[in-house]
Amino acid sequence: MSITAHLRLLVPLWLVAACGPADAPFEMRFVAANGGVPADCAGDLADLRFYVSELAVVRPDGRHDTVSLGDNGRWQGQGIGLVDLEGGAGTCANGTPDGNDRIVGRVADGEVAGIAFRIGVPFERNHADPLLAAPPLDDMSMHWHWRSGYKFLRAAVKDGDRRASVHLGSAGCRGAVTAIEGCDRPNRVDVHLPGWRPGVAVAVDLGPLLDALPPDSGPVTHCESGPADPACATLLPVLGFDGRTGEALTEQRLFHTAR
Amino acid sequence: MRRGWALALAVVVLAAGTWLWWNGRAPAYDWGIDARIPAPPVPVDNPMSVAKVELGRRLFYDRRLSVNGTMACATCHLQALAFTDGRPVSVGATGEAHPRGAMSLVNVAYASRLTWANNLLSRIEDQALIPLFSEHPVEMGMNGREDAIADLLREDPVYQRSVANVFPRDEDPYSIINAVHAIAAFVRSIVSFDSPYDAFLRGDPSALSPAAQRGLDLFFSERFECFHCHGGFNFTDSSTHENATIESVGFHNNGLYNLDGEGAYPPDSTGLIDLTGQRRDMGRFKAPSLRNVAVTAPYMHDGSLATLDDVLDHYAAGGRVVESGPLAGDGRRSPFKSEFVRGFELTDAERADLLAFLHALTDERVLTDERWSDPF
Repeated sequence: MSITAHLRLLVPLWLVAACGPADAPFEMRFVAANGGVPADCAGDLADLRFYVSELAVVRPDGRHDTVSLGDNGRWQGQGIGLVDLEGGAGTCANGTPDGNDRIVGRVADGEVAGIAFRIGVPFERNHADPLLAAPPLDDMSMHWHWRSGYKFLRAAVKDGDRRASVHLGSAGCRGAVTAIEGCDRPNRVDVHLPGWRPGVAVAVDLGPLLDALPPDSGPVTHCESGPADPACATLLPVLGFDGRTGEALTEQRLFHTAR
Repeated sequence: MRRGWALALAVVVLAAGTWLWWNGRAPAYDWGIDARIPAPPVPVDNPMSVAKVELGRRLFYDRRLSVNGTMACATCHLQALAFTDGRPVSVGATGEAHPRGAMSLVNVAYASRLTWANNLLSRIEDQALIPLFSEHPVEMGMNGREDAIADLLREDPVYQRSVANVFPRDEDPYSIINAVHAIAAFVRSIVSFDSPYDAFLRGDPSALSPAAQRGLDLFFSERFECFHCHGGFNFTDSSTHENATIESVGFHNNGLYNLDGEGAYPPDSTGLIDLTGQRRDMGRFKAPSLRNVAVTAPYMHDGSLATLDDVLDHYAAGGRVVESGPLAGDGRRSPFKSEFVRGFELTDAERADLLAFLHALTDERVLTDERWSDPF
């Protein structure tokens, strides 16, 4: 049976699961920022694209309710969403002209006290052949052909002549491309935003990347998640990882609830 | 009696038809190599065929597969140079220099791992995506232009016919994966074992000069250690074939750099450590095949040794000393250096013999054969 036929069978099941009695539409919007002010490709933003998975709303009692993401054939599918806040123009050269600033889905009705999600593609889907993948995993600019797997996050920001840039993805992987057994540095980022409420945007503030640069840094500090790369030792702590060991130690500092 | 003949004829026709059908189903691909040499492995999802190789050949030489129409795969892989480009490091479509040089594609079908230092990459189908789509540095620059590749296949009259013919079962055959599979099949088809050394092995003692024969003995001697990393039928320890029972993969630090006294390589090209993050992998690169090595200068991953003489000097010294500048350091004393790079004494006569042998690895046929030439 073809994959499409499988999907056709799954769709009614998804509808049944999604249309429970207390089911409500869900939407979460993202905005790019730099040091607390909006950022765009006419000035300081150079790139901002990322995969969102494991999305759940947090209830007042701390319980997590999974948001089920629909499949729209481009930005969402397989429980994964791709957010693209660059437009391919201006300072965002090498980007794509189309974009997507939100994740939509459905979740059980009820009071929302926060949001939780993961920046990353789940391991089971991360290392398959990208040429056979369904949206949103069919975007070549988000794939890392030499490292195997996807770039979970591409973020780049400029301050005059200085540029900080991160391509985050699993590194130190073992096995063979399309048959990866595991990765020493999974590099998925868990984001918890206790203050988030429906209707409020999530700000992705790239300012902390620039703040992390040492005063004597050269024009470009670019981290490709290389476990031994000094640029990553500088920039990955912003995402909550220890710069040397790669362990997730602290809360990430890029995503926060917009004010 | 007549009915007997008719029955016999029917049986013969049926048998012949079955035979034709069976063979037509999966025609064996003719690699054009000596029967004593095993065929290379082929991924089950990308079987070889003459038509697919021919389609891949056209794509390999097609500059429309780059962001600005200036660059084809063949731009960095020139047949006359055994599919290398003669530059220390290659330059992408937008002018960006790659930190490493283009590797030869001759017999790459037998490589157990692809590119200079990647322990994950074993299929050409996966490797081909790097030059097409990579951004750091930009090579062909097709990132974000996936549709342009599909459109090219769909709209160019030659590709339109050829793609439909090669991939008849696909609902929409005009896809990147089919383009990549065809290019991979073409690259995989570049196999050849026709150097003077091969003729010598096949029983023609006159194929190698006396100097080259002495050089052969030196090459395979424990004194010079060359064969440990550059051994086997393809002169590299990262080699495999259709009947291989064990996987052979090797990465080696040969003492080119030692920036900090602790073995550091220049940050833009540190070797296998770039993938693994393991300190022990600093400066470890794949030993490339030495077939056609006389035409693939300059040498090493970054082209930092200009001639084969320089390479012999490098190994005779047991590593390289860079006296000054940002790359200064004593590579001989790198803690990560291979145990086979120990240095040796080399007389002028021995040097001449080794060079004669290395030149005898040049396969004129693969450098000129029309099957792999530019179809445009």
